Amino acid sequence: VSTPLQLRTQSEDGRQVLIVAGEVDMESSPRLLSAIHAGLQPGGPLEVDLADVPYIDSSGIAVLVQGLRAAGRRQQSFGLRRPSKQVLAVLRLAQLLELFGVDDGNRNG
Amino acid sequence: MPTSVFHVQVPAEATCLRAVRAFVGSVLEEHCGIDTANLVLALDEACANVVRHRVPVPGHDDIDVRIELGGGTVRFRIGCFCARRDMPRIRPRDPADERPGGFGTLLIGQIMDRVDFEPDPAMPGRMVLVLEKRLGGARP
Repeated sequence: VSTPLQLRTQSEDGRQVLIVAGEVDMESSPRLLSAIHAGLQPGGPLEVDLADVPYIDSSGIAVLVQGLRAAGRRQQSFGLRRPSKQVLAVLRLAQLLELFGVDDGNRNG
Repeated sequence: MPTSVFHVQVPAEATCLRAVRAFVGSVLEEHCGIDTANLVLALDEACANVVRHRVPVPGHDDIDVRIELGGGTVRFRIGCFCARRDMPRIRPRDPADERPGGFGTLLIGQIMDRVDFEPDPAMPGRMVLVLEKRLGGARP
């Protein structure tokens, strides 16, 4: 069952948290990029919550990299929170766990 | 020789990729009985490349995927994937690359055991992308 992308931003203790739910693919990833840029606008830290992302492809991963670099240029903190099993697997395949500071919960898998 | 063959053809548009994923996922789940998320991802990346880089080819404006199951192997054939002259430009991403994109080819290479091109019998001058994965102990 496919799940359309839903995006919601909330403030938590001075941070912006972008809550992502649904599939991130070539069609939907531009919306995620726009939401990340909007989440960086207030100037504080941004966390992207990926717990409810059942599917992400390389375009979604590229958007996360763009977000990280945009935050770096603005000297803002950018992090991933609660990556789903599938997001974690794709970050691992793309060799990006270290870049995002995400702990690999499946080193033996 | 494949024992089961499935075929899906959709317009080469980003909005159609979800349908391809759903179809391929259901086929693999039913016939392979394993966690096929990575295989679906690899195929999706290949199809996304068709959408992203396609050039107009008269009489062919679709993503054309053939799934072959047999002998403990899953094989995807993506028709009319690229022109023969474009093949040298399709290579895995260097992990040190500063570009934010280009992960698709890397993911395909990480997931599949064989990534190859064959002449497309239906389209002179065009190539079929062949992705193959051995399923250790699985049943197709």
